[in-house]
Amino acid sequence: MHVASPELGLPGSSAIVAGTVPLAVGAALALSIQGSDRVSVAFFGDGAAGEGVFYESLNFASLKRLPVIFVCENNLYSTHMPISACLADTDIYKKAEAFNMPGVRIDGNNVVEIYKTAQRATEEARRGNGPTLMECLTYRWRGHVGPNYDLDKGLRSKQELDYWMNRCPIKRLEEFLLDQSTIPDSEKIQIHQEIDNEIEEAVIYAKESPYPDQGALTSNVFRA
Amino acid sequence: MARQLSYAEAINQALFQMLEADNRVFLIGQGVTSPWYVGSTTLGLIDRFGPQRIIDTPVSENGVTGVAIGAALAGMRPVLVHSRMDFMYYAMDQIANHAANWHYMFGGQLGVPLTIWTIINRGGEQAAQHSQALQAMFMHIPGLKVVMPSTPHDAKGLLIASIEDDNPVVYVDDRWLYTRMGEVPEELYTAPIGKGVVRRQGKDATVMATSYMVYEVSEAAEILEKQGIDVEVIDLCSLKPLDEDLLVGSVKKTGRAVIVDGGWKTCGVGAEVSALVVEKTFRYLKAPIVRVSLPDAPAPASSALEKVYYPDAKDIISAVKKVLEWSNEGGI
Repeated sequence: MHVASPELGLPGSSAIVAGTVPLAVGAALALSIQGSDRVSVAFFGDGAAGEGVFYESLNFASLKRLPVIFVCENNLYSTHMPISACLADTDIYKKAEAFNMPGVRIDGNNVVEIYKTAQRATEEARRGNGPTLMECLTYRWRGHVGPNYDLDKGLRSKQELDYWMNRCPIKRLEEFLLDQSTIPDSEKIQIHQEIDNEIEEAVIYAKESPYPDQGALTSNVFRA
Repeated sequence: MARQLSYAEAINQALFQMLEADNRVFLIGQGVTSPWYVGSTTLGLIDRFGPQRIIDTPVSENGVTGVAIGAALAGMRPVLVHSRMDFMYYAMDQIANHAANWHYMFGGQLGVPLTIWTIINRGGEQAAQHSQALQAMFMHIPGLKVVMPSTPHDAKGLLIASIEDDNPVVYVDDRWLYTRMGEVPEELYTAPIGKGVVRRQGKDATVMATSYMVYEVSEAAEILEKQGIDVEVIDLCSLKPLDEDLLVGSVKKTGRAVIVDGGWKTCGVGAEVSALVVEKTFRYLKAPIVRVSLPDAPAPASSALEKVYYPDAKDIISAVKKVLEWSNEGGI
């Protein structure tokens, strides 16, 4: 839940829906004051479109023409609720219009399309043209927190799940790369092997890592 | 040589000097350029530092608080203004869930060096939604520091200390303090967060107070002195961390304590300080502790009711007399 990697430019994530959307706007404000050409990106789900702070953030970012990209991963479900039961208008990208910024809806399971759209949005932000809202249509295979598929709970159909699993973004990227002959089969095998190894190493690292000692309970409440 | 400045001028000077000294510092919030919101505290800042560092914002308390936190995470030292403490309820998610937890949640990797400056706008028929004193709520939340300067000297020193601190600090002042005068050194200096100040030495009872109430307590102490009662007055200055040693030492000496705060009684500053003092000084206490606070009621709109709502020197005098006159037989 609490993922952070400051060295990679990820200053944290929040378990509060839409909680990091204004933080990304703040990072963009900092970058603009610092005169940096870096761009800030907020990732959030469709559930965020139900939160007031999402709209406050879009307004402020557009008002100040800040270099931030809002990336909505619309996976059609907010915990157990289908998006149609949450939003009066399920076209999230259209919310951008109310804040005088571009909004686009794309296939969120198409890596190349996402790359191209993100590149355009980044260029616009760098030129001082302000934020873009990207709505990426995708799907959550597992239930709200996994590990099952929420089929047993009657929350969605097998047909719907199969449709989306067949549109796996990674499988489609692999097919694209092989079709384009960008990578040979031998390299494909090597990439698969590397990914498997990385996951295996991470699992071993997690299992072998000790639990924190009791001193850690209060040691990080304040920064010394 | 220290000059006489008003409390508002002291804040203005602290902001000026910090904006000048550190290009990571900027001021953001609703009304930062408006005397309607922040009095004279920000006079001249916009002319000197421009709209890029003096950022007046739309009415979006939670969003703008998140913006300030995000900027802090990206290397800045923002001063965020909530010009009425009442408006902070809108921003509670960003303050409590995000700013306060961030350092802890990520194992100390990231700090949020953010000053949240907020103003208690008591009195003047401002009523229930524009007068609240919510310091106790913020004291409750792990990861937040809370300061409440009462003098111009500390207004400047604690504001600079808050900006320089690597943690989120809630800096609470009070509109009624803005015209108070006091000595303020010209240079950039800090007053230590977590330290209280003895404003008056005394032996009969310890009276601890926050913010504006320090002045009511001082007035009460002068009147009591004429009646032969010698109270020690402690200005808490910081609510979190509390200057435990100072409070405990004083109550051990006097054996009697009154706690005066301008917030509500239940779960208020007085409740916390009282519990702490009892835990640490039980066998020294000669009488129960008495709290002077707001009654557990919203701020009234009527000026007639405001007169009884806000405690003053008279209430403090009567509280001191209660702890002095207490006996096992009579109770309090």
